[in-house]
Amino acid sequence: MLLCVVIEDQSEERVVVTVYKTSKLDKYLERGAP
Amino acid sequence: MACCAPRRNSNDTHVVQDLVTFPFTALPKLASSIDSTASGRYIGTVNALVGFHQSREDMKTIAVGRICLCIHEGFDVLQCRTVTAARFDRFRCLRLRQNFECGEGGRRVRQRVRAGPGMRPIRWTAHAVANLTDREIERDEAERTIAAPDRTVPGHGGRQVLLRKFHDASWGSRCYSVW
Repeated sequence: MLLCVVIEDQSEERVVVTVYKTSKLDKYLERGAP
Repeated sequence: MACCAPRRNSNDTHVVQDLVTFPFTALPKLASSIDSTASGRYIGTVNALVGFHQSREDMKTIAVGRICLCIHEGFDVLQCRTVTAARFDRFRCLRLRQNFECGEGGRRVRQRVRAGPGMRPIRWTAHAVANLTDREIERDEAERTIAAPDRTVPGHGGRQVLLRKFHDASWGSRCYSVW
C-alpha cells in the first residue's frame, strides 16, 4: 500500500493539498524518479 | 545510538540520512508503531527528526515524528513516549531554526543553527485534513511521508506527490509492498 501526499511548494511554506492511499504501485513506480 | 556522516547540499545545508539508531529494546511500547529492521533497531532519519531541546546539560529530548525520546548524553534512552499535538508543534518550530550534524567519531549529535530551504513550515489545507478522516489515514503516517518519503514523483501543476509504503491494517498484510 502506498500513502500519497500531494505537496505544493511555495516560497514561504509547503502546502499539503491532499492525501490519499493507493494500491496501484505500478502506476507510481512507472512515473517515479530514480 | 550511532550516527553517520552528514552530507552537504548545494546550499551548504546539512542533509543527513540514517542519522540515528536506537536499541530496539528501548522502545518496547512503540515497537508496533514505528519502523524497525530485522536486526531489531529503529532507524530514524534527520528528515523525520522534528527537533530537540536541551532539557539538561547532559540530557536532550528529541522528537522523531510524534515519538519523543529523552536521551542521556551517553545516548541511553531514558524515556520514550508520544508527544501531544501542541508539543509536536513546538518541536516543529524548533526545527525551523535548527539542523543537526554529527561530531567526532559519529557519536554526538549537536545543534547547528542553520535554516535551509527544506525547512519551510508545512501548512495543511482544510481539504487535506478532511481527507485524513474521510480516507482513514493517520496524520502521523502522512507526516512521516512528508518528512521521509520513499519516493517523489511529479504531480499536476508543478506539485509533488510524496510516496511512502505503509501497512494499512484495514487491508491486511496482502497490501504491504516492497520495492
